Amino acid sequence: MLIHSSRAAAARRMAPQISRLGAVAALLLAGACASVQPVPRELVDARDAYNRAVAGPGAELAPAQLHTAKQSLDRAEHEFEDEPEAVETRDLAYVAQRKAQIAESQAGAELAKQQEVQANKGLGEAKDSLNQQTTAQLASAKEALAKSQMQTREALVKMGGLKNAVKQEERGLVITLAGNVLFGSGKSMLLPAARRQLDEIAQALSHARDQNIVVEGHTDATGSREINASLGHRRAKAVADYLIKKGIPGDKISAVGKGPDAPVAGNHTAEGRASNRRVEIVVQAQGTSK
Amino acid sequence: MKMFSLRISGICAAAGALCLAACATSAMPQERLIASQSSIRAAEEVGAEKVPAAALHLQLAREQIEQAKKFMQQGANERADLVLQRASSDAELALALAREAPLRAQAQQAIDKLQALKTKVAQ
Repeated sequence: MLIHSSRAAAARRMAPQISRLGAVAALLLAGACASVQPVPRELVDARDAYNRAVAGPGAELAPAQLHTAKQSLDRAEHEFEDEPEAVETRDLAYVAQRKAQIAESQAGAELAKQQEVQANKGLGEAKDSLNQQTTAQLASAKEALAKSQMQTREALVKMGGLKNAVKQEERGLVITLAGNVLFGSGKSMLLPAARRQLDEIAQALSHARDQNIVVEGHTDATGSREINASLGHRRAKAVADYLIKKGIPGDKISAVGKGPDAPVAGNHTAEGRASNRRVEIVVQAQGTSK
Repeated sequence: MKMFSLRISGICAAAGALCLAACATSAMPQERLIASQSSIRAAEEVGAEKVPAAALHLQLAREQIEQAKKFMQQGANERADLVLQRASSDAELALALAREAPLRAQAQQAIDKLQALKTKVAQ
């Protein structure tokens, strides 16, 4: 009887300890269960989407939408804490992910607008720069042309015999050579004296290498117009070919037969007709046009 | 006896309140449905169909609206309400993506033009 009563007393003493141990075990078990609760894929995606939106330009360019996204994500997180396995958690997480994506897209749109404005500004500046560059190049080319013309003229004027044959006209620098000095009557073969003169001219024209040169063959009005036109052309070509032989670039020089169409004097006197029989070498003012 | 009667009436009041709350949350989400449909129309108007990413979300939104309607027919209004929230969020995303796409294209065009001109200036 004594033994029985002492056992009962011991059991009574142990009871509170056992109940405490049970409570601790229950807590541990609950904790273990909570820690292994899988996070739904939708919530993982929502967290990722929000973090991506925050890391991008969204914080600066779409803060209001980002705030909405955060509120949606918080709702989903709370739902997950309360009901981890509930379908509502997945729905709210899905919505939260979309809100974060919207924030990201709005930020992307705003960024694109800014980039376009910036690029258009740069485009305007680059165009101005190109215009300035072109203007400067044009001015430089004009200056070079004027210098070249001046050098050519100076070189031609130094040749005593051509001093009065060189004129500056609107169409360029014009060297006029008398027909009877260059060719025999009705012929288009250069005379030896003409070759010497053309040698000097070719040397002077070396200053005008970038300019276009037109050789014009002119005749008087005696005889048929067709024959004169043909003679004018053949004479101009003979001079141009000779100048090419002497180093003037072929793509810069051309021959034109003017015939009797551009007289400088009347054809009713011998003196006038002699003046009209001529070859003009025109060093054009525009370097690019023929 | 009087005490017992008071307790009963309290319990009834609480039960009534709970019932009202339950009825309120399970009402048919008509407004949500209208809002979702309106979001879809807004996305369609800005050309979401022509932007592949936007078109996908537009399609998802439409499918979810149909799904929500079925839930509503079955009386599962709370579930329908959440599915409609999903539909709205997809439609809104479709709208955002459809607005973003042309802006990005315009920006890229301007950037390309600038690059080409810079190359020309450098030459």
